[in-house]
Order: sequence, then C-alpha cells, then structure tokens
Amino acid sequence: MAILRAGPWGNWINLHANPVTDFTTVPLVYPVNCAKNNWPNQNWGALYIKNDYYFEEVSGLASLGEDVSIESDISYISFIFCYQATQGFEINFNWAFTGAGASSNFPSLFWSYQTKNGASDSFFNTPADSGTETIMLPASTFGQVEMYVGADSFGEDVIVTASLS
Amino acid sequence: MSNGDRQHGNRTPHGSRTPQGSRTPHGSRTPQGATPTHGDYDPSRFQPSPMDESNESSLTRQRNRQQFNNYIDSLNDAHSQELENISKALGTSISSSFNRRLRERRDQIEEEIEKKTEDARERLENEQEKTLTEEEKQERERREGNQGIDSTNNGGEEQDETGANTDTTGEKASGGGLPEGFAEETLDVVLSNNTVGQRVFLTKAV
Repeated sequence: MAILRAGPWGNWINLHANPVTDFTTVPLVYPVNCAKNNWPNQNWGALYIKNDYYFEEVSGLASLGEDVSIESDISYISFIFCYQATQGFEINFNWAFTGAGASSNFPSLFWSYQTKNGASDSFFNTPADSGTETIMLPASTFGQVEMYVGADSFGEDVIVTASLS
Repeated sequence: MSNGDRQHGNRTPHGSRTPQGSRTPHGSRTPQGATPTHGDYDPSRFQPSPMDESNESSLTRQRNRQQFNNYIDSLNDAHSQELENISKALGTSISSSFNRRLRERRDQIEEEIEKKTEDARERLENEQEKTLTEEEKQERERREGNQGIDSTNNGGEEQDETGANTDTTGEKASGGGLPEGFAEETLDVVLSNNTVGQRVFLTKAV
C-alpha cells in the first residue's frame, strides 16, 4: 500500500515542516526521505552536525555518499534524517579516524531509530579506526534516524570523517 | 576502550519552530419625379479622425451610425420612387410582356436594396471595429470570454493547467464533477519497493 508523503521536513512530533535552507543555527527539523530515493522535488538528504567541543556546532545537508569531516582532539559528527518506506531497507554509516591523535583516540559510535509504527532500535559501540555500520531500517509511514561518531584524544587532533551510503 | 571522563551527549529531536441590431430602412420619400443620386456606402467618408478618448470614440461611432442611417434612407427613397413609377405603369393598360418585365425589374430592385443594405451594414461594423479603443476591445473580449466560460460552466467542466478536466461546480459527483469545495491535487507517495510516485487526490481544506 502506498504511503502519502510527509515532510518535506519534519521530526518526531511534527511530520510536516518546511524545508530549512539557513543553517546558521542548527535546525530542529530534518529532511524526510523516501527510503534512499529522491523525491521529485527534493534530493535525499540528512542533516549533519559537527562539533569540535571548543566552538559552536556547524550543520548542513549531506547527501548519500558525501563525506563530512572535522578535525579536533574532541569532536563528533552526527547525522539525523526522517524517512518513509513501504519496505525495510539498509543504510550504511561509514566512519574513519585519522590524524596524529588517532592512535590515542577514545572513539564512540551510536545510532538509533524509532518509527511511528512502533519499531525502534539503537546501538552503541567503541568503534575501530574505520568501518561501516549497516543499519536495517524497517518499513514505516514515518521514522527518524540518528547516528553519531565521536573522537576524544586528549591533545592531539583526530580527523573524523563520516558518511551515509 | 573507555571514553574517559568526558561524555558526548546525543541530540534529542525537539518540536518544530517552527473578466446591431438591424435597422429597418425608412424615411421620407423624395418628391415624385426626382431621382436622387447616390453611390455605394463609402466608409472612408465616415472615417473618424484619430481620437484618444473613449468618449470621443463613442461619439465617432454614433456619428457613423447616423450617416449610415442617412445613406440607407437615401438608398431606399430612390428605389421607392422607381418602384412607385413601376407600380403606376403596372396599373395602366400596357402589354402583358411589358408588365412581366416591370415585375422582374421590381424584384431586382428589391434584391438590390437588400444586398446594398447588408453590405453597408457590414462596412459600418468594420469601421466601428477600427475605432474601438484598446480598452473597449479588451472589455469586449472579456465579455465574450465570460460568455464562453458561462457556456462551459453550464457543462460543469473546466480545464486546469495540465489540460485535465476539472469540475468545480460540485453539483453532481456522479456526473464526473467534483463535490463543492473539493479540488484535485497531485501529491507524492511512496509506492511498493520504496519507489517514489505521484497520485491525484481529491482534497478539501478543513
């Protein structure tokens, strides 16, 4: 059965928000995607937020396969998006830690999702220096997904690079 | 491996900030025996001088119509005189063949009057068309357009920008029209296999 489009942006409590184009402050609504496909008038996207602990958060839109990176001794990158899907689908969360501080890094990785159909799941790990976490997202009229990868090296910079595919 | 003393908080989603008539020739007769001369209706004689104001344009048209009426009167008077003479001749005892020719001539004259009257009316209307101001033309087009729409609405159908028929009268849903207040909207949907599609929905503001 077909699902009527929500969005174009939204969040867990507001399924129909206007698209955000100004990222000078971090938005509180996120793109609503059709699984991993583009809408006729909106390409697939996820809000990214990167924080280096010492400065304000920086946000923007990331497409599938687009790398987002940040360099600091303490930093993180997160992705947030909403989705609709008539069938479950997989999405890959890719990450890598490089730079001088990588060897003394205390990394963390987290993801979670919840759907209006009652499904939810989450995961936390201290990841390797690079890898891919494949997340199976269930069919839903509306779901919200959040991913996070962080570095903490106590002095030497770590370059954190992350993407979705 | 541990994360140390520092903790990284996870973001929690928050609420949104969220448009003529024909004239019957008439007039006084010319004195018997007088044969008025007249030519074809010549619109150039009634050509208005260029005017900018719509009132002046209207006056020009009125003047043209008056001149047209005068022309029809003179045309009719001339032929009436000839018909009268023919009738008198028919009343006298002359040969039947001559009578027949006279009747034929009478019929011919009547046809000629009718034809010339019609021609003159057409020319007058053409001249009036030329003297219409741009505003008057637009107003006329608007009226004619409204008449067209009225006629279309009588059928209960309009065309939207896509060319698809969109009934907005709401009178008869069973007749292919939309209920009152409803409209057709094309909306995005997620189809099977997570493909993106579009469907036309019947929507109404609530």
